[in-house]
Amino acid sequence: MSETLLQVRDLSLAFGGLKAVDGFQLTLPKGSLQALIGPNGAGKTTIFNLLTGVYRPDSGEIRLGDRSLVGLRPFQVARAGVSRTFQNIRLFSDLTVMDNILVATQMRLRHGLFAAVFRTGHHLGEEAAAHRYAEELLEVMDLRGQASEYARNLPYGHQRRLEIARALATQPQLLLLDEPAAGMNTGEKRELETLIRDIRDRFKVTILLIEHDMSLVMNVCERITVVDHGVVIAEGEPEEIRANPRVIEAYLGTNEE
Amino acid sequence: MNSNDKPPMWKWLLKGYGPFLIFFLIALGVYHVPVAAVGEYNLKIYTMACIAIVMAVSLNVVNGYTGQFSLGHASFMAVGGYTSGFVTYYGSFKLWGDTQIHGGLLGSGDWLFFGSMIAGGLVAAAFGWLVGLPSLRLRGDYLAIVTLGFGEIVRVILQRSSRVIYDAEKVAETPVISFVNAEKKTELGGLVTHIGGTIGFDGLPKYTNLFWVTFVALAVIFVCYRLKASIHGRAFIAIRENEIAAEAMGVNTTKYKVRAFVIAAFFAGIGGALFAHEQATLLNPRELGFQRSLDYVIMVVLGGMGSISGSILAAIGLTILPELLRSVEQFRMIVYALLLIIVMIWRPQGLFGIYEIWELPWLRRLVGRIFGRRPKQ
Repeated sequence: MSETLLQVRDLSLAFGGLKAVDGFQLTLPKGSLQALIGPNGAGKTTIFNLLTGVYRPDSGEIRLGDRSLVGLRPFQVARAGVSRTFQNIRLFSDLTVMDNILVATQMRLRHGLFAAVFRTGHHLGEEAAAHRYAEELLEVMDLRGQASEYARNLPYGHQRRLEIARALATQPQLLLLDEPAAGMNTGEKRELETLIRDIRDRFKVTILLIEHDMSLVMNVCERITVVDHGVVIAEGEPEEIRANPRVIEAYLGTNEE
Repeated sequence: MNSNDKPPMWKWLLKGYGPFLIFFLIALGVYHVPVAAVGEYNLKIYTMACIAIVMAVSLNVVNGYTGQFSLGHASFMAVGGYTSGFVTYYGSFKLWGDTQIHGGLLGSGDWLFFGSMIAGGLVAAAFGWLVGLPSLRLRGDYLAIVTLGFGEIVRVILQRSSRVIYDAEKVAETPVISFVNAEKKTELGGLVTHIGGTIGFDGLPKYTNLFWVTFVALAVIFVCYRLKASIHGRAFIAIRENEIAAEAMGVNTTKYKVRAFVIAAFFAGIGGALFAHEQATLLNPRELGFQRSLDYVIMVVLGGMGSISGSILAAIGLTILPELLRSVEQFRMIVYALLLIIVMIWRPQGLFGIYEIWELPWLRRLVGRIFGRRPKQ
């Protein structure tokens, strides 16, 4: 067993009387590729929001390596090494593709605003490095040709890819993908499968993804966690999950006699 | 990310500071424009337009880049103007015993003025920080109301101050700041309270000239453009575009919002200093109230939120327009309002939207067609 990257224990969050997430557990080994699935409203996106600091959990623990992420603000979580994409695309639509990537490199800059205004050597050096890095990233994500296009003018599939590229630009250890295949056609989904595996191997990131497309989940992911009503109901390899009666029940309902 | 590709020092020194040298030379040139040939009236409009540019471009950092909504830009101008006026007026008394202009271009008086501009900018920036703090929790209309309230507070405090002291001897014997009732420390006194009240701060030496307005306007445009063009500047725009995503990408949105306020207020303070020493006879709190804040917001909205060239054009246009309409005085406000309504119907995003003039999509297409290639960004 390789070393653990993310360790989540007893994570709970209630909105008023509704227990959105209840005692959620998750362990991600470094370099793993895991899926988080569940019926609509099961609390998957809420879990992502808890992991990234958008919501603060009522109780529980989130550890990335040996660092606790509970109580950090989203930008601090990003700096700690967790990056994400969004279910409904949240690009900076009036910025170019290149600029979308560059914003994500901002937190690694060592120079300040004054240096930026007076174009000090430090500033120029770091900006050049960031631009080069962004170009490489766009090359890998096959978006190089659209670098100076405004993000909102990209076709839908490319917007999804840009979101992944932007998330990678923060140089994360853990990448959270929220329904990366949503709205894609079959061909695009096959490409995405290859891309996700590529990303994991090339950038040495650990990936946790939410997805409704079961063939993608089964093809790509090594392990699957199933949640329903905020509770983990199953965890295991794709084959186990496929055969798990509780999972089938959650998705299809019980067989009433 | 490493900085191995750091260019040689002479290169970045030239890139970083060279433009300011050029602005200095341009401003010197403008200063020597023959007044008789151009006309004093036109030069006055030029001066007002430069000040409007300083204000509109700096407000653009908050309202345009960062997408916050400030309705109190003129109050930062007031804070800066009064601070700088205080420094030059009473400073002149302390230094020379009168409030005449001392020295010619870049003479001793001009350096006092320069110092007072920086002082005005810094005090305004401090207030910008204060007003920026609530922006962490408020957005949209609510933030607008806070900034509006701040503007009113500034105006009322200024109006409650005492009359200016015109007598050199009295200035000499009054401390800069004191508590009239020293034991109980109940009442604030000293020169700081003698800044004119409702009548206005009059008698300020008229230091603002073509050199200073040109230099400051160019410098502010340039600094704001470089902010926008840098990765740090992209972070401001990212907040406007999508705050949640910006935060998720590691942008400390709180820090950037406050920074935007501080930067904008600093330049507004400098704009206020220019304004104060332009009026020469009168710096009145009522002049720097809500109406003026609104004027600057209109410039930014009209030019396009986030577009520096848009703000510049709108600032120039809206300075000249009322002058052109002077002959039809009674219809002036109607024409002005109609024009705004038409522009807002025709282009709700402002003239240039968020683009600079050279980035406009249709212009790029046009240039591309003429030269047979897409221009580089």
